[in-house]
Amino acid sequence: MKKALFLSIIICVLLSLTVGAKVQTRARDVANIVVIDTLGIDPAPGGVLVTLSHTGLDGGAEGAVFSAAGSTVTEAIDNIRAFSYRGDIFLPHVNSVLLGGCVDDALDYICVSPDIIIDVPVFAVKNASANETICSCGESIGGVLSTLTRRAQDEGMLLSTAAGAADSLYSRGCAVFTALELQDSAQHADGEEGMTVGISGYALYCGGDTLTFADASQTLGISLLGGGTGTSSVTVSDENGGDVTLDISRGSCVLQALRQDGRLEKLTAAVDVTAAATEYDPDAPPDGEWLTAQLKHQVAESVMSALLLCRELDADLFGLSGVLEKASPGDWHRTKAAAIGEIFFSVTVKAQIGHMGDVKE
Amino acid sequence: MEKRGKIGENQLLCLLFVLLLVPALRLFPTASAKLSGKSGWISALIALPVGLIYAAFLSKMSSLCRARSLNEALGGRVGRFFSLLFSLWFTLYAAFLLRSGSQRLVSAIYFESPPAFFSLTMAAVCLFAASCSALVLARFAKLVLPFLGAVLALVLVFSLLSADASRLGPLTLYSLSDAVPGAVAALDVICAIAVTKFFLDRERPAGTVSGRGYALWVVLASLLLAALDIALLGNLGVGLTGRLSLPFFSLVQSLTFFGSVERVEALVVAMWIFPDMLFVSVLLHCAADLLDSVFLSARFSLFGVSGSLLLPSLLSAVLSCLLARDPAALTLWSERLIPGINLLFSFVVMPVLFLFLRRKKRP
Repeated sequence: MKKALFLSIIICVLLSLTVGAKVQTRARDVANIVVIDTLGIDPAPGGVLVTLSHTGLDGGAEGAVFSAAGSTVTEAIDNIRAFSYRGDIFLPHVNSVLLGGCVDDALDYICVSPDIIIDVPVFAVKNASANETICSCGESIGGVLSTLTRRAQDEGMLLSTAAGAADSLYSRGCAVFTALELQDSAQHADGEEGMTVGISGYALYCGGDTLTFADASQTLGISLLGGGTGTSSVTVSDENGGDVTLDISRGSCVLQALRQDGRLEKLTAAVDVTAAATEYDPDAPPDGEWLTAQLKHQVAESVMSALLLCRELDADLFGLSGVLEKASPGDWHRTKAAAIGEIFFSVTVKAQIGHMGDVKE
Repeated sequence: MEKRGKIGENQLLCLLFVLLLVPALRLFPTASAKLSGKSGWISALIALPVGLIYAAFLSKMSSLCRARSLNEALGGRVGRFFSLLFSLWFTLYAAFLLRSGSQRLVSAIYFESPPAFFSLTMAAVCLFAASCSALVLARFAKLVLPFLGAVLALVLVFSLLSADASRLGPLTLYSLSDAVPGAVAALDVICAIAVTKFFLDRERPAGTVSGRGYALWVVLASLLLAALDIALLGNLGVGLTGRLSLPFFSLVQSLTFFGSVERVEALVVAMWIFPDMLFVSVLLHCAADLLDSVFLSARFSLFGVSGSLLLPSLLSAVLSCLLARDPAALTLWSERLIPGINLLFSFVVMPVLFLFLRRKKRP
């Protein structure tokens, strides 16, 4: 029996080790492996259109873009694999996903796919399809998106991942994505000018077929309400009507439900931002108090606008239901739903401006 | 079957802890998220008092049943009936575990492969393992537990560090009532394995079975389930955890170690291969033991393997190929049928058995 047990252990160990068998059995020359770094998903008649981008490797395979349609994302990728003239399509290194629609299909695919990690950054594409965006930028899209991802993190923007978006969509029925837009005049390494992409606010998804893109004025509010620190800069007017650029270095937002006589009165967003004036007329330095008031006004407007967008879409984009549940567990337990469309909002802003070494509150 | 040696309390606890990993990693997180939402992590803790009462009940049952087998303790038709009933349950449970394990291999590694191949391979491995005594299985569990424990601790520490506490709350009194349905799922997991312990206790020296072992097992199991739920809900959120069929493995895939992404699936594969193999082996071993006591006069063996083991092994292998032909059907089995059957045996059949044992014990 000891031999039998020994045999069992050996077989189990071998089974464990065969986890790498898939790679081994399909192993080819590394130069022929097409390492995909960007996945684009668009709606197409009868299904979805999948676009894959591969950045060329030094001494390895050249960069390429592949696309195919299918009734599901899996089928479309299988079609690319079947009809591609190149070697293995290797998906585990996908580091960005572009969505031109089909949000449910895309998130469902990423969440069950053993190839793609579920916290891969997901972007929504504005005024173009994911396929157009990837084809316009060519094989450089992977590098551009990696840079944008780092920039968004540095600037405190909300960076949507597949896991975060899927959780929000499955639990609250809506999700926020960082939006991208095609831009002209990118100078490539070879000196040629072409297209590139840049961050362009946020896209909101509340089910159905369409993505709603937030206005530029709502970007700061969405960032703050979503737990980000805000955008890199806002432009306000000084007392003479000149433009002053304020770099927001820190921002936070706390949501609180205010109750009166046992009833929910309103939901208050208490915002705290710190900014520094970086661009202004040095001959006429702006007044700190004026700038603080301007910043407060702009932040309050942006946050209120974002909250009103929630009400307009009747979507719990920022976890407002959690605030309501905390404030009134009994009411929440009875209804189990937040009627976002019926909530009144108020915004209070505490701002600090620091410029030329002088901080005024 | 090999009958040498008596299994010790610590060895048995090691074995049960490895067995727990099967439902804890595969079934419980999704079930608790679906049933209790973000209060799912409390459900395992809520189940603890009931689990402890159940542990006391099983301990009492063990003291009533000192015989080597149920058939011996009850005798006659009743003994045979209960022995056959439990062996059937263990066989069905083993078949489900074989099918569920093979689906995991198909969905994660060997895409579009027939799951039957993996079910049959694992059944063959388990046939050999189940023919060993419970002591050998427990020693095997003790051997692999440090490795499995280390991998689990690594994953838990890193996932708890990156968990978002806001996803677990707010914690209110109502959270407790929300957690109750999930507590049923936790009890299903804990009690089904505790029942297995009751049958393995037949292979322990008389008079050494104590309530402490059962209680310790229930406490450890509840804490592990709660920790797993905190890690999963805190990282993935309730929406995603409830939607994914294997959230623990998705979490591992996306964990970041020391600031860079590392893929440690190879280590984690062992966390389902070894416990699966041990759980199926223990179930087949118990089923064979029960059948052995019923068919004392009709024993036979084939290639050195007793007929009482061959029968449940073959049956579970065949059943694993037949039940849940597609992933949707498997979801039905794992979310409804198997938990329902487990609860039925734990909370209906076992108390009935207790009554029979007590009546038999009375002079």
